[in-house]
Amino acid sequence: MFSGLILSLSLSWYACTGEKDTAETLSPPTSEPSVTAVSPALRRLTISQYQNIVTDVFGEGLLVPSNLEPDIETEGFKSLGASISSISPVGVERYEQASYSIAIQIIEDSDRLTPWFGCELDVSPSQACISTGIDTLGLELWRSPLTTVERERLNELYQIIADQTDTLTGVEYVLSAMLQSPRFLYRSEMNTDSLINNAQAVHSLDAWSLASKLSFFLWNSVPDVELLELAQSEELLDQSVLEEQIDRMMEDPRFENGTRNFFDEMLHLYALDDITKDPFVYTHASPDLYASAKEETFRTIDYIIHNDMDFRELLTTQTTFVDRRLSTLYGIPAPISNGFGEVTLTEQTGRRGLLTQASMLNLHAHATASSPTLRGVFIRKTLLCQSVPPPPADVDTSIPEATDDAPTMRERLEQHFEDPSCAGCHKMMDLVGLGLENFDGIGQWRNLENNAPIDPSGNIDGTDFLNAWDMGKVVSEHRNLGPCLTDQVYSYALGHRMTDDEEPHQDWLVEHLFYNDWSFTSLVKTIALSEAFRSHGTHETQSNGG
Amino acid sequence: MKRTLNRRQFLRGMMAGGLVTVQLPLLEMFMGRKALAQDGGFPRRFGLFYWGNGNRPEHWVPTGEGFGDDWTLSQSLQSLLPVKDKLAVISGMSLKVPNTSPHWSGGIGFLTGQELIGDDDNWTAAVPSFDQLLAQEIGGETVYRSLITGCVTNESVSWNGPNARNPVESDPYAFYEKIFGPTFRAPGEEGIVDPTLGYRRSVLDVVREDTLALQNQLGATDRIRLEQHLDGIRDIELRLARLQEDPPALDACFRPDAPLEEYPDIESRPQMAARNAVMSQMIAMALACDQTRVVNYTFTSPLNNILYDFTDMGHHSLTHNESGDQPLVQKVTEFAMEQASVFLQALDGIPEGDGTLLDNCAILISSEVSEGRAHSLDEYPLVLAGSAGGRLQQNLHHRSHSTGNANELTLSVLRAMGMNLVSFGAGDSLVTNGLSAVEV
Repeated sequence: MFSGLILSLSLSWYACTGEKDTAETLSPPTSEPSVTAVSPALRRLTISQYQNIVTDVFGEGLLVPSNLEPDIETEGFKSLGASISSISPVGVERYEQASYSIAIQIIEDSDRLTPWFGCELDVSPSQACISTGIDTLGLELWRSPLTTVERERLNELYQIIADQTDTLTGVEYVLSAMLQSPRFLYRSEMNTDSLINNAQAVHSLDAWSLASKLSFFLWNSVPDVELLELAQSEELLDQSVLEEQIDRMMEDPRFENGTRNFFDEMLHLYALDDITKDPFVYTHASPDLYASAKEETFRTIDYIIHNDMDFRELLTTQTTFVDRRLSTLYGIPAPISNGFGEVTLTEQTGRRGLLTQASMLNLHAHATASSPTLRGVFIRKTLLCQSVPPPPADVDTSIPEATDDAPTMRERLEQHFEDPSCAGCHKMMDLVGLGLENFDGIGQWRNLENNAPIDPSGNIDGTDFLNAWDMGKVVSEHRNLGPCLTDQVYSYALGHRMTDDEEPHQDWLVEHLFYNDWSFTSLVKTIALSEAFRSHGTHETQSNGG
Repeated sequence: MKRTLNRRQFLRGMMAGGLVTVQLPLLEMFMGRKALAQDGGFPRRFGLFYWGNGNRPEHWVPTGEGFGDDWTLSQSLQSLLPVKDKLAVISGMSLKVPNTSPHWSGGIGFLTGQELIGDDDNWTAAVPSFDQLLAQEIGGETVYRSLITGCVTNESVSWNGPNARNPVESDPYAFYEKIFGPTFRAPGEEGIVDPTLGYRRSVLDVVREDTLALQNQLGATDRIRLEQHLDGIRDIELRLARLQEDPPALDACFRPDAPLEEYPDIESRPQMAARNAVMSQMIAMALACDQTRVVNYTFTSPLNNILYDFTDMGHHSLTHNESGDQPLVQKVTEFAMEQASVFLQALDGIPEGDGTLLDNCAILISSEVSEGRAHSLDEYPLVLAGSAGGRLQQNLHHRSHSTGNANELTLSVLRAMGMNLVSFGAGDSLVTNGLSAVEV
């Protein structure tokens, strides 16, 4: 709903900013606005969901292939891309390979299967045992009961193959079929009404779809047995049961997987897995450093959420979590000799909050240099939901080289600002990103660039800051922060980018956020309990009418 | 316990008719490799060699125009000398798509012939890229309709349509396992069919039925998405059928040596030459063994920021930040062409009839921009190698003096590959005529 956010501040900013006036309010939130009917879309499992499910269902210790069809990211989120992406022939082939690789590992340790089959699989099991195993495993992997036809198909497959080989091989191929099935690979939402008619109406999700939508939102994985039982009995459709379940799920360790996945997508932390820095420029460069940097950010987020702190503290907290590698980069003593320990950063380090963490500083920089532009784009787009247009295609975008007259990035970019076609947007990005220039492209502190002192002061949308330490505070108080966060969590949960028609919902969620002292868990719970989450519009018109 | 597969049991099952329900069009299955006999014996193949971030146009264009001794290679193309008599260099042409998004407009524009769609958050192709048009047209006879592969890239330049970018296999060992792994049989290794191929087909029958049932419950857009899933299932079924047939008797085909399991970066610099050498050999052998007839090889991808042994900045950064005549940018282009030469020589080293594999190929070499610094789509880099079995001109430098449409060359190539197309591209970049200068 970027378009809904755009109100001009002044003419030159029009194309580059999105502003929304939302005064903080402490009065109790109003009731939920009426729900906008948005047609549900099939969501393909993301790679992380595929991996989580295999581990959650079959247990730890399996090697789950990661070379599946790559996730598509749209509006910054893989979870939103999952609603529009299609699949390539190579992707289908990779699903096939992955299914066999997993199925073979499972039958090699056939005790893993006992919970579903309940009988010894390496002797001759009864038909009833096999059929029960197929039913219960199917329910868990496919998130709803098998139809009669589906059950028959899988039992027949088992029989054909087991007859020619043996029981476990039969099970192997049945497992593989389950893991290759679109019933597993795609999440569909069904409602309690009939599919035809009611073209404009808002429909309530059926209990199976609700259980699944909840578990993917909160755990990034499939429902557990308790949720499936409440879906079976339809008790989950009861408001108080639902609330109890949400509370239970948020207490569960899997909630951390869920919140980590949201921030992994939002902050693009996964990109740290493939990042490259030039070791000739940065002596700290190493894949281990980027992995540690990602973990530091995850731990900080866990800490904020677990202690139910004001979410804005993510940008200002002096508490962080570092290992030896990061403490060396930050120039502070390592808190413990092995693994991660908590430290309190002093103002001397110049570093506090997310923006000054190695993860963000590395991601939004080049292999051999920092980038005020990329850092500015990140703050504007990801944290404040402001739109930043791409550069025009046919212009020379090179930044003038450092000279004696222009030794620092600020001076080089100022030359760049002289071109009116670049100046408007570049000022908007760069004057923010320059606030982080005390941190080089790998996130190490520096006072000088080319022997000239760095000036890290700046201004964001009317508020001055002195340096990076100060800037985190200014960003945390920016009026777009709350609307932007609610938009992103809501969109992630529902699987579509919040539409203009859903703007009343954004306002309503922002009220909740402020009223609940910026508690992230309250925001999540409000969304999970909302009518908007528990319903959807009619499935898009079908070509044959039903 | 371990799986045991008893071949006798397997055959018995097959005789009893209990093994698989063959859902493939029977005719298609049993026609086998008859196409090998066409045109005096060898199929036509298409390959794309693609590198990212463009070139320095002033060092690209050959001197002289015409055939044979009338033209000489430019500085950028110098390392292609060993195969010069099999090249056609086309200069002076432009990609006519609107240049709205740096790198993306050209990248998607060249491969699909038309303007990209989407927005800055998610650019995508409006239609499939032309390698996939070819895969649909000529890919049905082989084990793989197409191979989408790369040297140092996570992303392909191949599209199935909107939001459907094809995954790329750039890991040499995984590529080897896929093509030349346990299911591969070289000519002469007849009769040893892996029994699991039949079981896999039974599983796919179940998966297809599940897909059709789910499809019936969904709206129009989602039905199309699942239709693409069904296409993928059909591709695997065809492949399994091919693998159950005896391999075609191709003299030049043999199982290549396996590559190393890993080619780790050294000082954050990928081992590009080593990777390209082994990928080139494997691609050449995949074509020689008729495992596929369409290869999309992304040597490096659009917008890549690879560090080279001789650079202190990623390639994309370099194109924007190196000043003056950009000697390092030029060096990267020369390196890419050295590697293209290694690729072409791998194809040319495999005898087929009186000529070589390269003669039966049409290989296009291009990038997503010409001058990287300005994201220019003028003076578009276009090199063609091989003649598709005598259908395309060779040892030619053709220069357009009227800023011709680069899509003309693509249309000529697609027609030379056997496609019966009335046009290629759309909007400003639509062409209905090929480039007659390269047509025989």
